Amino acid sequence: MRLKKIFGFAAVMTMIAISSAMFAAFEAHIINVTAHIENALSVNTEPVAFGTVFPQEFIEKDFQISLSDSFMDEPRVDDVKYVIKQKLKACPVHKESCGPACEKLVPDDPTCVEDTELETPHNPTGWHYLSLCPFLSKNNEEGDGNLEQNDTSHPSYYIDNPPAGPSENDSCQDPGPDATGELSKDVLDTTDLWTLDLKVPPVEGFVGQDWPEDCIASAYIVKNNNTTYGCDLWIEVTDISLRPET
Amino acid sequence: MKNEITSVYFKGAELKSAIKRNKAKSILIALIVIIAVAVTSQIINASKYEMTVNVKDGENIVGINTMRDKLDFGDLSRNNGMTRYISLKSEGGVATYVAVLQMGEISDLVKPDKNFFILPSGEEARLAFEINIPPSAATKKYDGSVWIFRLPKLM
Repeated sequence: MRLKKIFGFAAVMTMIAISSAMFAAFEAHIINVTAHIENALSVNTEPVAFGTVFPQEFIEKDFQISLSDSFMDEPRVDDVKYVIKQKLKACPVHKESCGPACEKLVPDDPTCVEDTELETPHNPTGWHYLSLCPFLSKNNEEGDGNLEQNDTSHPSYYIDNPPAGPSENDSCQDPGPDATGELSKDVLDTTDLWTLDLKVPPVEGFVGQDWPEDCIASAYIVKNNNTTYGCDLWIEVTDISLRPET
Repeated sequence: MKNEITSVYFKGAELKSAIKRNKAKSILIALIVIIAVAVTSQIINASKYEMTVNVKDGENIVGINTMRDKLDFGDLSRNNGMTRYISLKSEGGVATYVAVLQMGEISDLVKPDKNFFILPSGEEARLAFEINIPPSAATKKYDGSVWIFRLPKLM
């Protein structure tokens, strides 16, 4: 009798296992949803906060990108090539009542602007900060392991020609290509130190006399005073090279 | 004769009662089997990824690992954060109900940007997993896993 129960239980469990596998295969065929982890990642830039700044002020902040311990332990891979992209920064939002049975999303920071078809952050909340991106530059001057330099800086829009400091020789330029970097275990280049600098643009209508004539164009001046500007930095990996098999 | 009829009648009643009990038991077993098959098949079909982060001492430390076999947030110091993404693409004929389940110590630090949503047929969605290391985090490795369930939206 006991044996009969054990056999019965085993038969039911086997039936469940086989039926589950068959049903899972059938369901996967019908649904056909694929999932994969992306190369790109976004680094939280809160630690790189410039705070309250003044027009024409120059500020530098450093940040470091390196290969993680887990990547260093992985014998299959060697190099990582990445590009530092700049994207609009979404504003945090909260719900607010707009009448009986009505709720709308409003930004926590009232200086945020509404997303449009042409201007929408990557992870939209409906609102974004005015863009700080055109005024940021990313420089990497240090050597890279056994190589002199394998990274490409993204220079500032503001060119401080000699003599150092504001002068009539200074000029402005359109933003160049994004900064690129390479980290490699083989050449002992496992850390890149980037300097993020911000030459604060003047506010329209309040441009200082020492602001270069070349920089009077609207691209190098901001319209709004007393407003929060933001920019998201994305570290997008473009290539991972594998170690050759020995 | 009367006793035999009575005895047959009672045995008949017992038999009917036994059949009813067996029927109820069979229905219950069948229901349990159906539920077990449904749950087990969802577990088999779920996309499962390990999650890990190595919290380090210091400031502004960001160590990246962009390999795609797991959600590895690399090395991060306290007050730092990172977001990694999982893309979902629906190529089937039915809409899919997506549910995200996180497990392990790391699940307290990681927040998906959406959960329990519908992915229409033929569309793509991107799940952002944001990790923020609090000031009180211990300097150690945090591990866990994330399971992404995909159920057909039948109604």
